[in-house]
Amino acid sequence: MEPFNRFYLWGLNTKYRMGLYFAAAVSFKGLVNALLGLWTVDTLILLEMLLACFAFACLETAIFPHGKNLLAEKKRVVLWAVLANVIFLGCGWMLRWFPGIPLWGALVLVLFLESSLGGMWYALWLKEKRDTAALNQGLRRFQEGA
Amino acid sequence: MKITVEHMDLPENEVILRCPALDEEMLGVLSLLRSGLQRLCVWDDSRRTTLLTPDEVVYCETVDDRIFVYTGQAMYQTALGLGELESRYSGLGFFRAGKSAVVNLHHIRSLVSQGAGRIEATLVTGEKMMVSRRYAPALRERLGL
Repeated sequence: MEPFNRFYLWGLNTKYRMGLYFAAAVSFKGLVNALLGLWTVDTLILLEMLLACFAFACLETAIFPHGKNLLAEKKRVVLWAVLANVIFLGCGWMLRWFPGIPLWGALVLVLFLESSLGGMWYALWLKEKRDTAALNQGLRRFQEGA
Repeated sequence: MKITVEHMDLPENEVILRCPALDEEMLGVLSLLRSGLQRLCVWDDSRRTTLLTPDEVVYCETVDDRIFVYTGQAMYQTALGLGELESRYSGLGFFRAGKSAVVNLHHIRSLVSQGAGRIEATLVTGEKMMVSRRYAPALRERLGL
């Protein structure tokens, strides 16, 4: 029972990550399609995106088993960023997720992915920096109050 | 001062001080009793026992079912468990940082928020200690956050 429970909890965690990435991918695909004058999204592409997001979420859980820490573990962060590029750019190119997109559009997509990864790193950095400041302030208060 | 020791069936040892007023003599007795209650009995490698004030303790950890007490300069062992250390000296800054460690909050130099809800504490000795996800919320509460 214990291995099953562990697997189930792992699935629960992975599912949230997959859902987050899938929502971003679908929104972005919808936006690109709208810019190209298309008002539908191919079901097969949606399923491919879902699988790609699941694969990335699984790998992310393996890289950061105790939760994402994009500040302390630099090697893992590099691996995570490389995998994000390989999976999303690789799938987008090989499975033709964005057919009919011009070269400049493809470059914008790559830039968007890189800035999204950078944005995630920055958000976590900012959160941890502020949390660290609050913790040390609380610690000083505790030590002076004694 | 008259000293009487009575032997009787009680759930725990009890000291009652009787006096018309708390004069210097009685205050001395009181402070001795209180410091005696707060002092931590430890022993070193050569089995020499020492009474440490909780303020001297930087952190305590359990290794192979033995509890080690670290001050800035030395390492001792104690018979008290981590749970007892935490509950007995909680008011003096002792905090359970993990399953196998209790740290004195007064001897933490700085804290760093880590991913996944963990907190890294740098002690005054320069050593680093991780406050696990399980105990980090209690630390935040203790620090008034």
